[in-house]
Amino acid sequence: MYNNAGTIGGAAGGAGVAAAAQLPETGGMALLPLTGTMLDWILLPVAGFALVGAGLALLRTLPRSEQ
Amino acid sequence: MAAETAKIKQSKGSLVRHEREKQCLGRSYVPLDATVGQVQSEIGNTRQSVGKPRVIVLIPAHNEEGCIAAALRSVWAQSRPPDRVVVVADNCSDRTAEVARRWGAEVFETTGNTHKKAGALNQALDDILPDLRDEDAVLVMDADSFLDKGFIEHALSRLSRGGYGGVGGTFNGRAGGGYVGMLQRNEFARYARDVRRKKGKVLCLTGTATLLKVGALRKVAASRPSGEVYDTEVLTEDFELTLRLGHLGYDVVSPKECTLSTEVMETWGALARQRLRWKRGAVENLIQYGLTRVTLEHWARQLVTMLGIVVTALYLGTLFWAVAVEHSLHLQPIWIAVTFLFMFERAVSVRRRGWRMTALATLLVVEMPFDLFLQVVHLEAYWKALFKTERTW
Repeated sequence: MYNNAGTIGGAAGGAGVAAAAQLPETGGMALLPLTGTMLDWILLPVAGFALVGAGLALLRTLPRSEQ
Repeated sequence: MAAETAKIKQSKGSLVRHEREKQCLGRSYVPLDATVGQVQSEIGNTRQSVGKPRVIVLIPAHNEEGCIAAALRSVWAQSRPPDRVVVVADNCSDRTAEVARRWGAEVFETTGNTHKKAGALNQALDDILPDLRDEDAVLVMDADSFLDKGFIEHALSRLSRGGYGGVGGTFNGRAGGGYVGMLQRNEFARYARDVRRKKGKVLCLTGTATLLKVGALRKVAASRPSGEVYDTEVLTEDFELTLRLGHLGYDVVSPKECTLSTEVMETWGALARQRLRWKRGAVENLIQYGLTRVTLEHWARQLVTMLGIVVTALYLGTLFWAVAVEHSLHLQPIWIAVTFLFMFERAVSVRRRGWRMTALATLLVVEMPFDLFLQVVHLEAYWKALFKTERTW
């Protein structure tokens, strides 16, 4: 048993791909809740998670000393 | 030392013969025709006499005749050889015990064990712990784990620093399994990289190979109503032991020098069964312990994983909706940039596996089925843990 970082990374990666493919042209993520469509409301948490995941992914790519 | 020498003289023939052998072997007192096990045992006796911690290797094995020899070879080849090696033959119907003896190990055969690996280890520990001191160490390793040369030396060094109850390792997946094997090797490589970057911090001492301090094992046993080291009622006895050590105030670590290789599951079905056991076991262990200082990070990770599953489901659902109902997809630069970032991360994190794997991982879609697969297994694990369906493994 060990921590499966891949699951989290993969989910976030998937969300990133999803968001890249689908975010409607509504002026950016900040306006998403105001557009009123169901799809936008669903995509908002996806986008939020993708951004958090992107931040974590960025950290994982940075050089770091290993013990 | 004098008593040990006398004992060996008595058991190994005449004084003349012994003296001749002694001359041939320099400072050693081991006869020339000694088995590897006898040599290791004598090394252990010598160490004991000068107060250094002894290391006993325990290898639980159920019908492992195919790989036990290679596992033992890796043990004997250690830069710091163990003092005893015991293969715990559990309900074997093959030649595991015979092969183990041939490779210099002692064999402990379980009797009436119905609790699989945990039960087998408990029986063996009941037998060996009384002869050990608190500062000695027991290396518990799977029969399909092959240690790299410095594992015991570095693990023992770290264990001796104090505060640690157990020292584990990181592992590479051996060849085999085609596509599903490749995905696991990538997963193991990323796990090892994460552990190295966290200075060896781990949340679980895996069953692949872990060096445990005898004093800590005694405290674990004393903390249970059963009085045994391993909990036989759980699916993941290694994770439960890690939690128990944590609650008793011990630290655990996996130093970068402690490495080994292990087999990968060769089919999706086998992988599903293995991961279901791991994930369900982990969830059940966490429920068992509740929310504590030790389990807090575990619970947080469980939460993030569940969020990931929800988000992925939303992703797939909205993708389907956009194509099937709205007949349109809109690409935006910011999200394309995010996607490139994920591609970069996937590539960098498997860089050690070579340029081909790095290139393949960059594509994202190559590994995405594995993530989806693990998420489905994770959901199934939660379902079975919460509704307590029958366990089969």
